[in-house]
Amino acid sequence: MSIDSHYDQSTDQANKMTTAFKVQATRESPIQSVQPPIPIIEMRGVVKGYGSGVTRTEVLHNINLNIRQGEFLAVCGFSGSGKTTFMQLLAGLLLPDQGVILMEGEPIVGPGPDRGLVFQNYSLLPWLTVRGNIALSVDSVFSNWAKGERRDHVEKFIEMVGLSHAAHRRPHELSGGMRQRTSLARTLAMKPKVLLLDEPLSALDALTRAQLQDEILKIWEEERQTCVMITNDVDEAILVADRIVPLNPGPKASLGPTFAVDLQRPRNRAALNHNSTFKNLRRAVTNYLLAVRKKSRDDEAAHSNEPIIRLPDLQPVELRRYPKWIPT
Amino acid sequence: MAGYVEMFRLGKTYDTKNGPVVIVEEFNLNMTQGEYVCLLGHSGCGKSTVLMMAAGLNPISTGGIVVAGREIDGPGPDRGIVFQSPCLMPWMTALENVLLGVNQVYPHATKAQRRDIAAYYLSLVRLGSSLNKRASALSQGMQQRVGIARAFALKPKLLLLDEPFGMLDSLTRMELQEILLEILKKDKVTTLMITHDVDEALFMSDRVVMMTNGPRARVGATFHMPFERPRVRAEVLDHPEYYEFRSRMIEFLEEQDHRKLHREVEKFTASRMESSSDEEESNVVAQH
Amino acid sequence: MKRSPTLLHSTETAESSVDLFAGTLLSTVEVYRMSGGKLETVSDTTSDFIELASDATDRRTPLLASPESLPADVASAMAIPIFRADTCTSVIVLALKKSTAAGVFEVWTPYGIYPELKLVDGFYGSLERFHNVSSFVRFERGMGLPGQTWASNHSIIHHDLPNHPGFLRAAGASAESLCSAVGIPVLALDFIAAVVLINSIELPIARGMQAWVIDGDSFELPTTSSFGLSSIEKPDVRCRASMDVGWLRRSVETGEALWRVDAASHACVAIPSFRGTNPCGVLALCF
Repeated sequence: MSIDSHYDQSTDQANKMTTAFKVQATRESPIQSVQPPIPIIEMRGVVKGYGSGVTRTEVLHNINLNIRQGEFLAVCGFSGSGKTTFMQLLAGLLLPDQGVILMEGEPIVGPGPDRGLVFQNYSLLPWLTVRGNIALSVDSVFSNWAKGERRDHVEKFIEMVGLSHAAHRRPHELSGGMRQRTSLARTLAMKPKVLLLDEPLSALDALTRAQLQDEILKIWEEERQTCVMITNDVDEAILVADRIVPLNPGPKASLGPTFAVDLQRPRNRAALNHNSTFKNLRRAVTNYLLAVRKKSRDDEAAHSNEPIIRLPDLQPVELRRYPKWIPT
Repeated sequence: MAGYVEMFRLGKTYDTKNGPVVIVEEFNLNMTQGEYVCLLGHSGCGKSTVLMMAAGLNPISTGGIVVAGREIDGPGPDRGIVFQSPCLMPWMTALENVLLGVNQVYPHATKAQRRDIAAYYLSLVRLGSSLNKRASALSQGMQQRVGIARAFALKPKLLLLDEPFGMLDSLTRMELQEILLEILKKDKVTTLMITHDVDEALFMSDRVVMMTNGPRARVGATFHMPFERPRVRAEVLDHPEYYEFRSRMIEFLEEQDHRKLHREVEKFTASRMESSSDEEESNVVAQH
Repeated sequence: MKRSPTLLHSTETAESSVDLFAGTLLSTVEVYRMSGGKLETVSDTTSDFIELASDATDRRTPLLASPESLPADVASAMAIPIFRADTCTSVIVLALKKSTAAGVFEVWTPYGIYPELKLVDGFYGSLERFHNVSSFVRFERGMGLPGQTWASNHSIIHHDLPNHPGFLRAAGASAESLCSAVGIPVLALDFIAAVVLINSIELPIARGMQAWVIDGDSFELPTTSSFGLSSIEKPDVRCRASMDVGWLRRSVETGEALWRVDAASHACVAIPSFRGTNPCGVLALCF
């Protein structure tokens, strides 16, 4: 639904969006500069809940976060910790109950083409081909471009995600991974300032997932566009991100401390397994997430009034002749 | 108590129109009572075949399997199985799903006792507050927990786990791994688990058995885990040998990968060029 | 070398020696004053760590002693320089006892082009896991205890760390049973570093602790900024007595850290902080 809402954008905005973002921080300098770069997105004291009165549940509580120009930020959390709410706030599909979210100093009041969202359920139009789906977005966002220019643009992004051989296929003729590639190409082709990836890979099997991670990483390293990815996979977060922010388990989820991923790029999955920084960081983030979850479980258990059930002292019968297989 | 479970020169051969194909060959494994063994290998390497033979769901071609002194012959409730998808009856509640099996193996129990057995195991998997929810209303992780409760409620002699957490996201997976170990702390069931997740194998098992890629899959290497029980994940991750084991297992898998690739390249060149470079689709096929 | 100074207070009743720091994590506190370009100890404190203290002044940063330079019964020692405007006026050294109770010393400094703090040095004892987490964590200005210390320019105390919303490494704290923390800013003309001291439930850093905030002429004690053994809310009576505002005011006026031991052998150290020449706060640690 977010992507569909990108279609009716004015040409003015479209022109503004084509500005390339090449600001890449040199992170190595240990000197504090007087004028720090302004974050591209700022979340200040953001609170979001559903319902009202006694039935109100607060999903996100006091979220403060600066998203930096050109960085790859991974938000890592458990399912049910408000990850999707978090992303929808950034996309402008939800507005905060309290606090403010600024994009380049301006409050976010709705979805816009400057933020491109890719989510788990690729919302491709089933009657259009890969090319058609991407062209539809490009044509609507860059309607002032010449036809040939738009066509070249579409082809460039089809190629970027490695789908040239399948550009004529329709979504039902594609594997899950290929559909997600199409979805990614469509969003990238709209040249958003910030790419929002909401667990884009979690519906895929491990192998396809790894391939797409490498793909996303490769594309990001070429484009260096600001990217926020929500994930539940610590390894995935470390592989792609500059910084990792844990989302503590809800209700009333808040952000944990930021972990810096000081690993050289380009990164190689196989080589990382032998890298001591990788190992220690993996341990640190995993330990952190496990500890916050344990804390939340302990708090929950302290408030629970479930009856304790005693197990009857019985053994199952020995079925000498198995009457039929019991599906366990 | 060596040899509570014994797999002796286990083999599986399929007859095809191009002659017999040997999937598993000379597979030997002894498990002591209460031991947790992981079979680690790539998908399609034959580890599922071994598990299905142990379950009695796939006929054994050569050799045999003995569980608690009795050679297996077909499926039975003495072996509990948990698959990747829990296969619950969607219209039944969590409790009713567990009761399906409980009613069959506890015919001598009262109705209330059977209910208690089912409810007890559901509370162990932290579903005590969801007993009466329909399976269709539960998340994938919760459904899998029902599957685990169902398997344990039958007090099997051998628990067979076929990538039970493969469909879950990595943090939910970690949580379920811990729940499973907690139950095993109470009911020390001998467990054979299949996985391709190296971290899962390291965290869960006493012994990791690596399988070579099929055809003719067999035991390639065995690792004994030095981590103390009960397992605390943070401590296991902090263990000085953790990453050493992890690297060695990953290396083994990578080596198998290369061999497989090598074989495929040979096959490919032999059977001239025809298909496009759609590596991903072949993976999709391999997964299903 | 004699640790836990057995104080013989010349003007007071010179009876038996007292371990001033009994019941705390510290084995000693040393206070140095800058006089004619050289550090000299103020009365009653030892000077075992003078080299560390002068290193800290030379390098204009808080410093942890190298482990091999430490006396046998000291687990770690940290020198914290105090500046007014651009001049170092004094240095305090806190030495941590070897103990089974957890005690953490940390130094966080700005790093990179963003307003962000990174751990540059720390002592964690056996809290290896907390150390590992801390070494990867960055705090932006205003975030977490180090970032808040930076943003406010005065010392900040956090209690009940496992449940504290401002202590972002709370989960690590829960796992390791850490309890209270104090963040101390080190400022000259600009912010230099945030020093963080953390203790577990077993032993506090000090018997009493107060983080006063100075706003113009007024001294304020935010409600959550005291700590004492007898209660979390208020320091015990004898601590309160030795932390009188008049005395704390003097440390702000002189621009120096002050040390005093009263007739009942209760010691107190006052650590002021200035942004340029403006006083921002004063931390009192009472033993």
